[in-house]
Amino acid sequence: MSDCEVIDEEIKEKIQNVVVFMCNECGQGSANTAGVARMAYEPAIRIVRVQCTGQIGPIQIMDALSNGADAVACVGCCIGACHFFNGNLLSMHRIKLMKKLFKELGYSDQFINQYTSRAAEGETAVGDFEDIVDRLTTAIKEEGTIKDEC
Amino acid sequence: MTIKEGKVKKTDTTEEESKEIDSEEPRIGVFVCHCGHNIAGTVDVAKVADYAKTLPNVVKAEHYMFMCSKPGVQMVKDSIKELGVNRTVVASCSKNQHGKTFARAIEEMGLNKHRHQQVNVREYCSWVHQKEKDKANQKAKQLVEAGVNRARKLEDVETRKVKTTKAALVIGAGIAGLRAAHDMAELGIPVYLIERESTIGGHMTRLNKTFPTLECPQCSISPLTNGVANHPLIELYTNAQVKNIDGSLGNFEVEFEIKPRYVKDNCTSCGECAEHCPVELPSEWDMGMSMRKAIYKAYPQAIPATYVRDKKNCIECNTCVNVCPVQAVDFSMQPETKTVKVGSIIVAAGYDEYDPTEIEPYHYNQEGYEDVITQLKLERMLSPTSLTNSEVLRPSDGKIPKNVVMIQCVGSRNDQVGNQYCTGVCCKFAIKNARIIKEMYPDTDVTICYIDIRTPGLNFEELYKSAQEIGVRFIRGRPSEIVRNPISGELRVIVEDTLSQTPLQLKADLVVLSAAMVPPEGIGPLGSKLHVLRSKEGFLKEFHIKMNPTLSSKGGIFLAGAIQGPKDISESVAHAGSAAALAAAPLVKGYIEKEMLIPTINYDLCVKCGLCKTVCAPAAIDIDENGIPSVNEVACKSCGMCMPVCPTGAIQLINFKDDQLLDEIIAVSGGGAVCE
Repeated sequence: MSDCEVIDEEIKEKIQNVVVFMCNECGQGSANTAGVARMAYEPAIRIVRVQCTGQIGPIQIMDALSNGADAVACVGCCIGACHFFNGNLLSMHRIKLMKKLFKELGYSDQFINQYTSRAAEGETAVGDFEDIVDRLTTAIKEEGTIKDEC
Repeated sequence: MTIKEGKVKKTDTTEEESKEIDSEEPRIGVFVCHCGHNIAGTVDVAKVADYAKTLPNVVKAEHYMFMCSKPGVQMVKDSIKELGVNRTVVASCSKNQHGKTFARAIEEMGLNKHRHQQVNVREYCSWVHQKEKDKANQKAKQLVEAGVNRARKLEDVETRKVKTTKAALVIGAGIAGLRAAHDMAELGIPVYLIERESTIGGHMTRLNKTFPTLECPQCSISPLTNGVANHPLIELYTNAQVKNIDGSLGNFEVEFEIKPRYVKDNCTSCGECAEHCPVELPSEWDMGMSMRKAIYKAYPQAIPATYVRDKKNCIECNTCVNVCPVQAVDFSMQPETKTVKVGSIIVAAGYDEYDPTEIEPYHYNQEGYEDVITQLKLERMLSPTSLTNSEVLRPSDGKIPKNVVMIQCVGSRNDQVGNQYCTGVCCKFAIKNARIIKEMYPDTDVTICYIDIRTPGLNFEELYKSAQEIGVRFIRGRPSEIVRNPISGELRVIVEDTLSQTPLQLKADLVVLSAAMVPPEGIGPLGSKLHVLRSKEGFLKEFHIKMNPTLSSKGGIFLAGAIQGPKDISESVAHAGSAAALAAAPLVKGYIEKEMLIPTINYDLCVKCGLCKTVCAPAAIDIDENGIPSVNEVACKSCGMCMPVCPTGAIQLINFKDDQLLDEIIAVSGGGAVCE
C-alpha cells in the first residue's frame, strides 16, 4: 500500500472499463429503464448482453479481466425471478467461488460481483453500477492492487 | 419427433446464394443513428462512423438522422444490394425497440435475421452520460467496435415449425382441473383427465358453503362435474396416477396406471353391496366424520357413480358379489397401464390441508383432545349430508358447544413449521364459518384468535363486518397453548390479547384450527416425473410470478389452481382458465415456431460427465444409455446455462459461443480499443 493520500475521485477517473454482463430479461430491462429516465452513471460501465447470467462462466470473466477490464459484474434478475429459473443463483454461486479464488491468489475479491435488478426500476441498475464503482474504488484505495502509481 | 419444414418465412435468396454468403468474407455495414438530438447531442456520430470504417471487415459506415425511418431502413437494404453487405450493425436504440425493425429488413433482403447486431448507444450511452461527452464518445466507439466484433462471427439461426399433437392431459380433477379440461374440450381439443381419487370434484365438493356469498358449492360444481363426465372429447380416468412422462412442448408421451375399481361400469349405483358389506371404516372423504363400507361410494352425488372396492380393507367375504343385481362386482380386475400422446399437460393436483399434529401445544389428534378439529372437518360437520344432520356437535360428547374458539394461521405464517407464506383463504373461511355457527346458535360464543385479519377483495370486508356485527369476537393474538383440565376434561385456549395486552384463558368447548394449504402428498415424485421445478414451499414453480403464473418451468406443462400456491376457488378457476387458453394455443394452431437458438455439442470434446443435464432447468438435455448427451431442440429455452458447467467447452450456445463472446469482451474491456 502506498503512503500518499489518494482521493476517491482520482481513482474513479482512472476506472475506464467495467464490463457488466446483463441478462436479456431484467438486466437489459433495468438498464433500458435507467436510460429512458436519463439516470446518469459512470461512463466506465460497458454492458454486454447475454441470455442469462447463468451463461457467464470463469472463461468470460477472465477474458474480460485479462483484456484490460477494471472489474467485471453480472447483473441478473432478482432471486426467485430468473426467467430461466435459477441462472442467477448458479451465477451467484460461481462468483462466490471465484471471489474465494481471487482472495487466495492475493487479489481483491471486489473485481467480480453479482447483482440483481428489476426491469421496472432503473434505480436498481444504477444502484448496481454505483456499487460496482464504489467497491472497486475502496478496494483500490485499501489494497492498492491496480493502477497504483501515486 | 420434430418435423423440419424449412424456414418459416420464404426468403428471396435461393440455397446456393446463401451458401455463397457463408463462404464469403464477412462484409459488415455499420449505421449510426442520430436519433434527432438524442444520440447526436451527446455523441459525435460522425466520428463514431469514421472510427467504424477503420475496423476490419467493415465495408460501409454511415450515420443518418433516423435509422428507423423508411429512408434509414432503405439505407440498410441498399447496402446489402449494392455492396454485398452480409452482416449489419445498427448503433441506435435498444434491441427490444428497433432491433426487430432492422432484423426484418435484412430478412426481406434474403439475409438471416440473426445476422443483425443491434448496438444500444442511446439508453446505454448518450442518455446516461449527457454531461461527460468525451467519455461518452469513447464509450460509443467501444460499443460499436464490440458490435462489429460480434457481428463478424454471427451465424445463421433457423426458424422451424414443429407439429403438435392435438390432445391434452390434465392431472387432477378438482375444480381447477375440471375447469381447464372443460375449457380445452370446448376449444375442440381431446382431453385425458386423470384423477388419483375414485371421484372427481376435489376439495370443493367437501365444503358446506363458499364465501363470500354463502352459496352451496355442490350446486355450483355439479354442472361442471357432469359436463366433464359427459363431454364427448374428455376421457376421464379415476384411480389413476402418472407413471412416466417423456417428450417436450407439443409432443409428450404420458404413461399412467389405472387402479381397478373392482366394480364394472354397468354398476347402477343401487347401493345393495354397501348395505350388505360387513366392514365399516371412517370415511376419508368425510374427514372421518362418517363411516363407509369396504365397498363404497364416497358421497351420494359422486361422479363417476360407480362403486369402488377398498381392496386393502376388504375381507373377501364375497357378499357384494352375490347381492349385486347386475353382477357388476368383479374381484379379478387388474391394474391397467395406458400410454397417450399429448401436446400440452396441465397440472392441477391441488393441495392438502396442513396436518396440525406437529404443532404440539395444540394437541391435535391426541387423546382427550377430540374437540380440537380443523376447519375442513367443521365444513363436513356443517354440510347437508353430514352424520350430524348439519349440526355442530362436540366430537367428544355430541353436545352443541357453548364456546367455539377458532385459531388462525395454523401451519401458515409460522417459521417453526417452515411455512412462511400466508395461505390467504383461512381468514375468509374462518369468518364465514364463525358467522354460520353464530347464526345457527345465537347463544354460542364464537371467538377468532388471529394475527392479522386479511380479507382483501370485493365483498370480503363486508363479510368480516357482518361477522363482527352478528357478535363474533375477534382477539388479536396467536394462542400459545390449548390446555385440558385433567378432571373435568374442559379445554382452555391460552392467548394474549395483544391489543389490550391482557393474557386470556378462553373457555372452549370446541377448538377449530384454520390449517394452512400445503402441497399435496406425492407432489415430489410427480414433480420429478414432469421435470418441473418446485418452489421452496414445495408447490410447483411458475415460469414468472407476474408475467406467466400458469406456465411451469418446462414449456408445454402448465399449472392450474392451488398446485402453484394457495388459492381460493375463484382464483383457481381463473388460473385454470388461463392455463387452458395457454395450453390450447399451440394445439389449436397445429404447430409451434421455434428459433433454433440452441447449443451444439462437439462430441470430440465431450467427456460424458452429464453436468449439462444437471443444470438444464427445462430438462432439454437427454442422455442416452452410453452417456452421450443430446439437445432436445424443442424444449431448449436458449439460456446457455449449460455452457459454463461444461469442463471441456464442448457445449456451446449458437451466437453466444465462447469465441463469439470473447470478441465482444475484448472490445469492451479496452483490449482492442484505440485510445485518443
